[in-house]
Amino acid sequence: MNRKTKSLPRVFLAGVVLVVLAYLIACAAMEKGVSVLTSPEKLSQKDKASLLRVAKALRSSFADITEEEEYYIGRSVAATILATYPALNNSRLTRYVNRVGQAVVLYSDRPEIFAGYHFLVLDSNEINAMAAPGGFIFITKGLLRLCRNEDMLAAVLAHEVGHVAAKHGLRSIKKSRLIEAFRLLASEAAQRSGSAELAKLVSTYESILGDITATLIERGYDRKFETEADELAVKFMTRAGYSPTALSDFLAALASSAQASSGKGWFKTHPAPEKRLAKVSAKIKALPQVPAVAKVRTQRFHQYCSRLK
Amino acid sequence: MRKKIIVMAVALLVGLITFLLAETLLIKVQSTSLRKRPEFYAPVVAKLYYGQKVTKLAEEGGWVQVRTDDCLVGWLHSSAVETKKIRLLAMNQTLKTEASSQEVALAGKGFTKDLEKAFREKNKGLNYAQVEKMLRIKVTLSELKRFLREGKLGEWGRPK
Repeated sequence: MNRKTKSLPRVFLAGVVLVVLAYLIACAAMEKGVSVLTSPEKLSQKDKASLLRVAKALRSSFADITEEEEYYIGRSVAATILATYPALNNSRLTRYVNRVGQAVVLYSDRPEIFAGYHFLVLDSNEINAMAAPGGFIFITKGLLRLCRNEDMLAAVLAHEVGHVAAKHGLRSIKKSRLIEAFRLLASEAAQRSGSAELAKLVSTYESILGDITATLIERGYDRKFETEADELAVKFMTRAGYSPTALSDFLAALASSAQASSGKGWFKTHPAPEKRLAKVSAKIKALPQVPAVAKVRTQRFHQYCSRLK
Repeated sequence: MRKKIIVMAVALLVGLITFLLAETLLIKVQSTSLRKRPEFYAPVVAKLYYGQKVTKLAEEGGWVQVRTDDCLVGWLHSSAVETKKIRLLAMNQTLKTEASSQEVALAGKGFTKDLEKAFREKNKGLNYAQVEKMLRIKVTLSELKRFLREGKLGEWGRPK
């Protein structure tokens, strides 16, 4: 008994030594892992190969697209939109729209994205607004004309920020195409210029961008994404201090617009405003407190937007 | 004496486990500010850049408290960091059995600049010039703060 108690501290001492040893090994392991993460240029061929193996096994859905990739996808979608719709040449108005947009972004669920959010007014009478992945948000002159105050403009921008925050653009990529692209990206052959795999990768990438652009301009999102974007708009606006009833006002204005029967722009890509209105109103009713439209905001809105009429 | 050693060993073990479980986060946006408090208006402690590594210390209302490599402590909005855990103990011959998407993209196997270049060569006539112009529009935080205050928005709009 006595011998046993005496030997116990030794056992613990050995345990302590073992723990310290494990700690040192772990430290070294971490150092290696971390250096791989932060300086990709220093990757050894072996490490690169293992990362590729991981890539193949790991990436399978829109959720595996990184922020940087989302930004690059967004750039090309935006460049496609801007090849069809020219930008409005009014830097004062652009600045104002960006301030309203950033106010909503700050109170959104995803205030930080790779290169930040950017807003642009398109020189078109069509009533339309679009959000490319990566935070490129467009609103037409025609839609701005439909807004009567800053809160209504904030409602439209919050709806678009909602699409970006919930990654609806990336979700509209066909899954099979994405898996194909991930597979090609992970193949060594696609890294060589002039290879058949690289050509295939580029054309798969083209189709991916086509999926998103067609959704934004032609097909419209899935109805459930539109409902979600409306709900997020109510949430972000209320947090920012804008009146969420401005979204209802906007939808009512949309319903009574002369363009409603044209089947163009938002009317083509969005569910009927009347249907959205009922859902939005129910959402607002459930809120404990609703900010009101402030006069000072409506005044500054007219300063910037009155000349558009 | 025996008790002391037990306590010490347990403490060391707990410390080691905490260390190994410490979450390493990666900055996933181009640049962001490390702030003194968990809010956008708080003073900036440091500027952090894409791919930089930080250690998570705490979490609060959509913000994470982190420590940088040079031991600066501050808060980041959770949307600025990749939260996927890095399994330190899983590293051996294959380096790691789990990697986040960002690590893979950092290794240069993603939809990045090179792919855009190849796409642009095939698709002339797209308006990237306007995209670059759009990217140059910047609203500074102080400008936004003034805008919010004037418009009775954010914390300036809450009922007193």
